[in-house]
Amino acid sequence: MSSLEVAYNELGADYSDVKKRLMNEALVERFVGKFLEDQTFASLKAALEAKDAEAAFMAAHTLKGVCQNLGLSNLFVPVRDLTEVLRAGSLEGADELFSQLEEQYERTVSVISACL
Amino acid sequence: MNGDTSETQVTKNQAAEEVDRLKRIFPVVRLMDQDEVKNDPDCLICGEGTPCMRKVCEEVIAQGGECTCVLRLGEDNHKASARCVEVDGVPHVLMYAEPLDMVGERLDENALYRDSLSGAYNRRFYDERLRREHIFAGVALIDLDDFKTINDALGHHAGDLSLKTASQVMLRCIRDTDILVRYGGDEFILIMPNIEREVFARRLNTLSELVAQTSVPGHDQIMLSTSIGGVMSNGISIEEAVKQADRLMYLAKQRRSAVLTDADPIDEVEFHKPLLLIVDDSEMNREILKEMLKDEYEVIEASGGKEGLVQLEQYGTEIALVLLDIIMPEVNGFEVLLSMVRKGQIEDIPVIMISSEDSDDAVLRAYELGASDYIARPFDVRVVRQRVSNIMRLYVRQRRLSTLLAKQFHEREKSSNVLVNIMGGAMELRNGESGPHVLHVRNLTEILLDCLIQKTDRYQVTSLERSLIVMTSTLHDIGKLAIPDDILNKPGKLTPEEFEIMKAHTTLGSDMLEKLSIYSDNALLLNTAHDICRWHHERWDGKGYPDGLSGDDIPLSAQVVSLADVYDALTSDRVYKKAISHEEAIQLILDGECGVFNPLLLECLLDVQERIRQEINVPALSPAYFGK
Repeated sequence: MSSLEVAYNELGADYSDVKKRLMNEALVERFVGKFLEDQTFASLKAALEAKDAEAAFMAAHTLKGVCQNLGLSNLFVPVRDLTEVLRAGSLEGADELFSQLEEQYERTVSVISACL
Repeated sequence: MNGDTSETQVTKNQAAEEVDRLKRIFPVVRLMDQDEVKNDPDCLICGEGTPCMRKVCEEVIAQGGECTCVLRLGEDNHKASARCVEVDGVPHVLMYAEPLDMVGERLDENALYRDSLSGAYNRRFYDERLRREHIFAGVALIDLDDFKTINDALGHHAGDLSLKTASQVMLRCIRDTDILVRYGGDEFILIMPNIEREVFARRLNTLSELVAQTSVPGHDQIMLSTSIGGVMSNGISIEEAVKQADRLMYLAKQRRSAVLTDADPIDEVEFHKPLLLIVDDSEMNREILKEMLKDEYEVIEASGGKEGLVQLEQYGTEIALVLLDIIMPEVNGFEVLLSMVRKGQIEDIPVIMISSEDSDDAVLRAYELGASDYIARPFDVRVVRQRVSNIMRLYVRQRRLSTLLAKQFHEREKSSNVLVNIMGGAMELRNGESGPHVLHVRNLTEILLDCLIQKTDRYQVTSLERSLIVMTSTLHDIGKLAIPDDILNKPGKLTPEEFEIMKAHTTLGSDMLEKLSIYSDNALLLNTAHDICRWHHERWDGKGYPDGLSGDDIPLSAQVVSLADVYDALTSDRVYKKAISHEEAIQLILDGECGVFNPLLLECLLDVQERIRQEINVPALSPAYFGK
């Protein structure tokens, strides 16, 4: 079992899914590495702080797609819920959902950076 | 390797008897062991100018069985067979040859092996006689382009005739010793034994040109063309050679070049990897897709809709396919798609939408707008590759279809458009309307209709209907031609009687169009024009004229033109009034001062305000038809 797979398991993410879809473990590792540098989460945070629901929706939606593609199911669930709230153009309840997401995001980043 | 009735293990005497027997039938017969095969100074049969049989014989001795090749002996082509026999336990090869036209004649007697339509050999001949043969030959796979399209669009008779015409040309320009097989519906295999690589390539090119120059009797709109892949078999089986030729044929089709052979440099083939544009605001997603597709395609990227549109403009139909994300900031996927529809790019460049599983409606709307397929996140490398290659293959065919049929259609549409515009211009002259009212209504109709199609799937508008509505919106007031001048151009308010006469322009126009439609094969155009003429003064609440239709009983075409007409009337000068500003006009319309409209259309009007201001209200960009 690769260290990345161990990290996925620890996070509750789905390594076997992403491995099956991308059919290349080195690629998974490369993209997960890129995920750590990806600015989408930062844009989401900034948009929410600026109370810009539309920009926040775009960022959340993008982040959701990335999580799906990387099999980060632990992050996918909170980001999906947040996206659906923002899709309607509303910020109501967004802060709470965001703090759940942020917690997962930070955990994900730290567990993954530790193993790469 | 065929099983044979003859014994494979024989004594020396039996072998000598067999050689004698064969010598009575075949002009050349030889029996050799492994050393003799290796050391023979000639090419085993006849020496100079003949492809060497040594490799084949060595194989036969090593592996047993039998092998057949076509060789040139002196002036004639011969069919040479090599068979393994063990003479007193020592492996030998027994080789014999006969002139090929003898073989051909024998086969010709057999109608079993002829394709009755094309006159070429049939698939059965290929399967039973050719597939496993090891002939030294140029092997080409020839695909007749558009055969399916011709069948579908012009009928089977035209399809059959095209096939027959093409095969006749091919049969005429090949040598007697060449073999042409109808391999599938529109695919032929051509086998040219004993030919130099360069000559083979040249002949294939000539053949393709000759077919292209030929017209199908009675169907001069059909442009025959072929895609050809050719390889030198160099002793591999015909089946294997056909496989290789098939790959080259497909590449030739993609490159839209007629002929590709294994003599063409490989990197030139590589250089022409199809160009694929990925439009997605997420860099990660672009990277993942690129990684999945970069082996087969040359990938260019755009990080948003705006950039995507620029790339589309820049590369045009060099782009073989677009992968398009739906939700993006600023210009989203729908807007890119709509722009492609408006510019007609969607006809040539297939679009695959990228979406998440939660946006079924969005995907459906994208399909309606003309997207070919979609790929859902999360991406699966096999699904992505398969979808892209399926759509690509489909479009390669379809692209050729457009050159065949669309050429015809566009010519006709262009003429219709010109005529319709002339009518619109004549209307303007007669009505004494200031400014290019007809052109404005046409543009407004287009803008509103596109917005509506994007907004809702309540109305099923095909792209043909869309273009017909836009085109015939110019005719909305055609009935006014029959309204007396003093009423039509009266500077003051109309009396009730005069207004009744004026109202009749709707029915006068539609009646005229109705009469025309009996004689026309373009019923859809006339019907659309009819609906617009008759009902562009109806109101959503049923209080309009002439029929008092309400809601969606009013055809969508008339609803849209009605709103466009009102908006432009408000914002233009008339003999009886001055123009008002865009903002005032919008306010009056929203307040219901100028009629009652479909609420969805009013939403559209608000949505497209910016475009209207830019495209309609700038006089410099919209010259009147007759330079008023």
